[in-house]
Amino acid sequence: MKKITIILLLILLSAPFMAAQETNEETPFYACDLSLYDSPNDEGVNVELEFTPGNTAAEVPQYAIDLYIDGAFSNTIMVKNAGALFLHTIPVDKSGTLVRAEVFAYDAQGQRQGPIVVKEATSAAQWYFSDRLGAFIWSLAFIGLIMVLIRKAKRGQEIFIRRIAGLEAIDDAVGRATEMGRPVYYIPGTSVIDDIATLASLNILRPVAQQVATYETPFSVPIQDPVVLTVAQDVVKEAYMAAGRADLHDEGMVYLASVGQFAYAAAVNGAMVREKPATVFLLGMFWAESLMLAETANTVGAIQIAGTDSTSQLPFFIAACDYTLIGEELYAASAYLSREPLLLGTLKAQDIIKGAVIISLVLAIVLMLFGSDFIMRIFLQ
Amino acid sequence: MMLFWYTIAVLLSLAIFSFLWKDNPLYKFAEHLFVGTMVGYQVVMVFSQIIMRKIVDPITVAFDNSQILTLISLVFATLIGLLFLARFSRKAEWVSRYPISITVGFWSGYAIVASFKTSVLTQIRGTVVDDLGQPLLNGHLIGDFFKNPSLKTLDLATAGPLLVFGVIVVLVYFFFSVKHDHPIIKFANKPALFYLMIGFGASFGYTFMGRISLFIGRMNFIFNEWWPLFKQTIGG
Repeated sequence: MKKITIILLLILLSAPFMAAQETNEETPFYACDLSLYDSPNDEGVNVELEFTPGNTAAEVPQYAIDLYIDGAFSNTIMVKNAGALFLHTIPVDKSGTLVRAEVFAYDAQGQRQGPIVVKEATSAAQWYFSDRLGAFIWSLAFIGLIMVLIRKAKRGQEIFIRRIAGLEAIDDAVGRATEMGRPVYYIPGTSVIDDIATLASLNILRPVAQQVATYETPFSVPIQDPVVLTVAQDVVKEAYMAAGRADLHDEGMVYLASVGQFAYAAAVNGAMVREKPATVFLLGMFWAESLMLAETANTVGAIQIAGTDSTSQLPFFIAACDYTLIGEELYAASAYLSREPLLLGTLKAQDIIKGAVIISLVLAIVLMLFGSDFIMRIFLQ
Repeated sequence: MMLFWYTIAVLLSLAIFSFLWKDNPLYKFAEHLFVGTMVGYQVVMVFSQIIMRKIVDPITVAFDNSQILTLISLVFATLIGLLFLARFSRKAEWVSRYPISITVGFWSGYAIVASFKTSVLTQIRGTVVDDLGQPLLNGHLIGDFFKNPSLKTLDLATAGPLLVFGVIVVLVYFFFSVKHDHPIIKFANKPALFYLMIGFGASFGYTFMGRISLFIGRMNFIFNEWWPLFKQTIGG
């Protein structure tokens, strides 16, 4: 009986130690939180690593993460234990690459322990960039609207466009040049052909050139970009033919002034001072040369009609020019002048989309006041 | 030798500045030199950076490594680009419109979603919430101002509402298919112009200061770099 009592006592006394040992096995001393996953919205060339230390800096001053790519050792990332989340992007060559991360802890004595956690992830390419879903929905709606409204405009439905002051002045400006016997200058910006402002400017060039041809006024179109040059040459030629004055058309009236920004400005300024144009159109995309051109045109006494969507250059045009088309007015101008169903339909669609943007903006703000980000997540992501 | 090039730079700078007085032979010389140099520079750049780097080198590599698809795509793209040269023939001039159509068509389509994302959606988002995700129309900030009226709390309370109001009225200002006498357009017109002019005024001042600093940089070059070097070299 005594023996049994002693054995029982020994078991009872040793129980806490056994429990403690079990606890040690359940919660190991070295800990961390590691997450390894494929980067979303890419072509399968990145894997994301998120690491959070589980020990204090005193226990584990530093961690090491060994990276293996397709089974072969790649490199080791040393992470100082700042107790904060550590983010790292692992680049890989192609989609379907297996990445393995092994975390080791360096204890206070500098001994490497582990691996304490091992995780694997495979990179994968995504077919669709989900972050652009909102933009995709808006674009579809916009394109659909444009198509419907173009069809309506083609059927002859009247689309109203409000008066744009700068465009009303084109007739007077060209007429003034004719009366003074001095040339009209048209500068379609200094950007390339795929710039929306350049395209809008080339759309305006046609009616302006047609009017110039009708009035038999000298015309000059200095260009900076060679591709814009070829398009502008065609536009001007067609405009002269449409005006029935192909005989007045001269290949040299649309010319490449220079290819560099300031070299172009110097060349056009020089030409303006020598030829003294009566009217200067500055329509398109401009950078630092905007004020140089506008000021020189002002100095030679030309009437200036300017327009750009560059917000940094608009102030200079407003200060130095007689009429300025602000931002979107430049895009609207081509529809206003030509009255083409294609452009009218597009302009109307732009207005409707603007209305939708204002409504979704107001809705998003109101919902945010009540703590809901529904509109933000679905339509404005 | 350094003094020689510095002196050339100074003389050309002064020749360009002489345009402020009036058009003169010095300016004409500098202008023609600038235009000619730029054209020459661009020809070299196009040859080395485009013809060699984007056409000849990749085609050679693709040919050496028997990458047939890459080779075909490169040769095809080059041939399309060469169609531009058709402009020199009166008969085949129309062919040069194909590369232009492809360029314009591609970029227009490519830009639709990206432009919508950056120029529309991101801007609207920035009008609803700030960088930290907090709503710009924030009742707490207005409450804070009334509890503790100061310039700082006033700024915090009004910045968001003013921005939101400004964005809406300026958007309304750019409606083109609605008549001027429409009550909403009438209401938005003046505040929108006010917002636009404040924005342009600030932008004007900011850019103007940038230009002044460029001018100071040039004067600094003349008086603090060239002139001491000139004195040192000439004075022995």
